[in-house]
Formats: sequence, C-alpha cells, structure tokens
Amino acid sequence: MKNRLKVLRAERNWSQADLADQLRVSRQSVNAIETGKYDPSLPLAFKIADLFDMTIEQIFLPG
Amino acid sequence: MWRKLCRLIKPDWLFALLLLFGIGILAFNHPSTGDSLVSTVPLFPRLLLLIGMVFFLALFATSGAALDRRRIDDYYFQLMANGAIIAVVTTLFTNVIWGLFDGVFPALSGDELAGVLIGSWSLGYFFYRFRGLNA
Repeated sequence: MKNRLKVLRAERNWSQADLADQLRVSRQSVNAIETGKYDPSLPLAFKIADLFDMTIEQIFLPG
Repeated sequence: MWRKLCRLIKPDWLFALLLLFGIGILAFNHPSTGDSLVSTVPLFPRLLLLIGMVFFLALFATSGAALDRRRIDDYYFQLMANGAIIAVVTTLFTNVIWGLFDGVFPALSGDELAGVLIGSWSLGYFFYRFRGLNA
C-alpha cells in the first residue's frame, strides 16, 4: 500500500520524531510506514488521518 | 489454482488438527526407560499434567501478548508476531531434518530446541525489520 505520509509531513516541516511524538508511536514506526515496510493498523491509520485532518483514503492509496 | 487450494484449507480445522497432533506427540513420546523420576510416572497422570500445563501456560501467554499489544507499538508487535511464526516453522523443520540423521548426530535435547526457537525468533524479527512486513 502506498501513502503520502512523507509529503504531508514535509509540508508541515515535521521531522519523523515530531510526527511519532504526536501519534505516540516510535520514530521507527513512522519510518517503516513512509518507506512502505509496514501498513499501519486501522486505529493508527485513523489517528494519522485525524492528525492531518484528512480521510484515510486521502493518505493511503491502494497498490 | 494455488489460491483455490488455499481457500479450501480452513484454518479452524487445521489448528484443531494441530492440537490433536500435539496431544498425540505428547502421548506417544512417553519415556519407557531411563532413570529420571518423570519416566516412572504412569502415562495418563503425566499426560494430564502436561496437557493441563500447556493449556494454562498458553492461556497465560495469550494474556501476556494482549498486554504487550496494548503497551508497545503495533509495528513492533507485528515484527515479533511474524518473527514468532518463523521461529515455530524453523524449530519444527530443524527437529524433523535433524531426525533424518538419527544415529549420525546425537538427538537434539529440549534445551537445544529452545535455543533454536529463541534464535530463530530473533532472526525472524530482524529479517522482517530489514525487509519490511510487506515483503
């Protein structure tokens, strides 16, 4: 699954650590999501969508 | 074809079969010789004790895993869970393949199998850590 997390984070000038702090996960989790090594769980996907004030479909793309 | 075959395999039935297989292994591996105290205990009390212990430890481990899941990142939990699958499969295959060389090499002890299990769990964790959970 592809995602726009890196772009959205860069638009806000957040580091991976900043985003991880806000999501209450490790920086490695954020890095794994951004590099496509890990698809987040549904609760975490909702948390990410809430944080960016977007829908899950706007952040995570199939394929 | 492969997908069709995979859909035919029902996980509930498969794991029920594995449970029976596990109990069978416990029942048929009753030591009949040796000087340990355990080998002098009759089959059924020993079997009941083993099954009871496995049941309660599995229940305890399930509660522990649920606690882990709440406390640690979902990412790390998935890494550990996927690593555990690698560990179980590796340990089973190591035991079977080593058994083919029965007589050539001394049989693996329980402690050695525990070492294989822990080592392969760690390897599985790092394989997924570097390759990614989607690889």
